[in-house]
Amino acid sequence: MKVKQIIAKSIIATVLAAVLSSCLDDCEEPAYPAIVAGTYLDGKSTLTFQGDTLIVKGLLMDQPIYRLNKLYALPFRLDTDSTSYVIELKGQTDTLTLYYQTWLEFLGEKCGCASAGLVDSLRYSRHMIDSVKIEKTEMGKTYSSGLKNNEENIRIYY
Amino acid sequence: MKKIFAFIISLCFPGGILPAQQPIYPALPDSLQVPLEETVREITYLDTIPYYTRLQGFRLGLDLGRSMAFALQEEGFSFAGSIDFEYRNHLYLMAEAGYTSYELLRSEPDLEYQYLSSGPFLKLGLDYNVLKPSNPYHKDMVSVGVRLSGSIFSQEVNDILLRDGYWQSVVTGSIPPRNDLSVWVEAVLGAKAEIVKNVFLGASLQGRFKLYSSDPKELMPQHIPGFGKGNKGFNIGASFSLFYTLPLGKKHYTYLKDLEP
Repeated sequence: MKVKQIIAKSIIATVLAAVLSSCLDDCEEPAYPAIVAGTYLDGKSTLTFQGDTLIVKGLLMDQPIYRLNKLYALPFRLDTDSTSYVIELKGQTDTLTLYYQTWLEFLGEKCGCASAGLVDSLRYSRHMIDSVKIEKTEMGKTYSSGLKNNEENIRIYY
Repeated sequence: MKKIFAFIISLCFPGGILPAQQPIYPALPDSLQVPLEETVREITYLDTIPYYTRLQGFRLGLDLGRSMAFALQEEGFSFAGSIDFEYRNHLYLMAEAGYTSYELLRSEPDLEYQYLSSGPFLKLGLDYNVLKPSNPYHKDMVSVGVRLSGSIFSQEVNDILLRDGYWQSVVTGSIPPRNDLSVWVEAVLGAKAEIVKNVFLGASLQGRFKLYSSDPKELMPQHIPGFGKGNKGFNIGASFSLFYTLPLGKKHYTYLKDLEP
């Protein structure tokens, strides 16, 4: 192989690899930890319950927790190992308490650090809720662009 | 005697990994009056020696570009040195070692931390000179090469500040130091030019492909010494180096003026 061909192919291969590599950045924005919850009626995923929707708040908090990608990304307290939520439906209120363990993760320059954790257990009242099950113990992450996967940590059945 | 010597040399270096040797035809100064028969004898002699080296002794290098690039940053430093020698004609064995200390400091509302990474790195490999020499004394080179490289480095994150927007809680903490290992392979395109006797300036472009990294989930390497950005599987690097050849070796080639009458 001629010298010029070797050099030309080396340069082309390097540039191609660089372009491909630039597409592989895995972390572009800050991440916020959340416990992802899905709601179910008669075993099927749903957002409405006979015309009503759930109102989810942190215990003693006024601000409701909004849905992301049809799921509730429940923010948890970073300074304790449990967080309680109030879930209202048709004027009735249930309380859900999640217990977890957390640690710090470094995700990259642009994402920085975030808490990560495992959901250990939960307790709940049963005024309207039928049951709550843990589907995946590893907590999810939310970004300003939303949830990047829809894997539920818990499922709330009515 | 010379033919025997040439024959022995050819047995020692069968050339399995090298392409066929191109004959070298020395450029003779016009003023040099050389009998025709001696010229023919010399060319025939060089043709019968399949391998010879042009670089005599070891060449030591200092990566100036790496040091300058880090000197322009506020935090961190890096330095690297190399040694190489011509194992066979056109084929150079080389080793490079260095040390990097890297710091990344962010202090924005949602992004507050200090990341530290430091450690040595080692690169071992070879270069093949693709530049056809105009004469045996011509030591400039354009090379393609490959390196197997690795680093054992320490990394930690301090002064982490996390704010929770919903619960209005603030958490501070750190990720303690830990040691990690990365291994990668480099494809290198380089050039070296002898600016004065035994002193070379060189530049190279490296494509670095990560083969293995311990990459702990809780601490994604941000900077791997010798490799660069740790969250990527491929990086491009460049170097600008100064080299000095220790004139220790014996001459392995014979040129016209070295021939005995």
